[in-house]
Amino acid sequence: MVCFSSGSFDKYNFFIIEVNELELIINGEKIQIPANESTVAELLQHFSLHQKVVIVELNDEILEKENQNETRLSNGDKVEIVHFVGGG
Amino acid sequence: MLKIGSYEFSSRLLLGTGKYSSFDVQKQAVEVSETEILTFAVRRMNIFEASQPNFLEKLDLKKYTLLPNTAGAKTAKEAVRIAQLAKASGLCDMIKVEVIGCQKTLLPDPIETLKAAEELVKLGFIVLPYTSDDVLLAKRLEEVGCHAIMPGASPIGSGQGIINRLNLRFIIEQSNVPVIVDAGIGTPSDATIAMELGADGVLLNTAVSGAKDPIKMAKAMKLAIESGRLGYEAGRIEKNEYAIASSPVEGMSIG
Repeated sequence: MVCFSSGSFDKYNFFIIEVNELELIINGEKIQIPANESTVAELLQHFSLHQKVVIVELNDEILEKENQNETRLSNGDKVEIVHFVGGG
Repeated sequence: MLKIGSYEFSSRLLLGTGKYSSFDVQKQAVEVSETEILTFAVRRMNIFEASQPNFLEKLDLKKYTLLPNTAGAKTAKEAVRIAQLAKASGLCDMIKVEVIGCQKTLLPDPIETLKAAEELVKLGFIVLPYTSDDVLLAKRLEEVGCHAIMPGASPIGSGQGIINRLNLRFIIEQSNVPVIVDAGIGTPSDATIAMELGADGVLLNTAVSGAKDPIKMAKAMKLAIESGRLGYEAGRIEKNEYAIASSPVEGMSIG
């Protein structure tokens, strides 16, 4: 969602663009995503991870795959996205 | 047949998937090894590099059982969390419990390993703990319900082979669940010795991935493990101090 507002203050005209974003902590890093992508499934799609084997933990709780579509994200959420890598 | 929990395998080689020079070499090594169990680690994903290929995507997952490990865990709590993450993939319910207590030797922390194993059994996992070759700890791990015991031959990646054959033999003799020799295997003969001692399987990674020709070594390991198993089943001869002639001592045409 994008909000515009404009007006004048004293002799200056102003024009503000406010883009709604969600700030998440993904794998320990602060990352902004567009606010309209606010479910876990949409987050995965945003990073093109939806067809990968990934496991998501939201605020220290493991999220089952079948719940990714309806689980909504809020500002400040802690998201861990892990996958399988080579190992012995 | 190797039976672990509800699973049955015809191969007794469990292969790690770390440190290969390329996916292509790795894929061929996995194929010629005829392994049915592949280990993996669980790590944070680099979300900005989603296009990077992952070895898992190159595998026909119907052909392999995945055995994720809890490597990176230093406590039972961390190991349980990694195991739960792995299981949430929906691809596996087996877990290799690996709780490292010392970064220099990579030896497992026995107390945290036992705690993690017990908890994971309760949570319904098929649990295979990586442990030292401590005989009593192996027993305790079996008592808490582990589905296999995986004593190390020598430190991880060291390639030193089996340091303590006696302990390994004691563990094998006492165990009512499969014993899989995990870590420290360097050569095919190391794997054969483990199998001749009566191990039910061998888990190795660096011995293959670090070889000059990993594909050839994968084949060598497969044959070594089969050979050792056959030798064990056939039953070796007794050792004697002095020679015992193979040819008849009677009926000689001399004298």
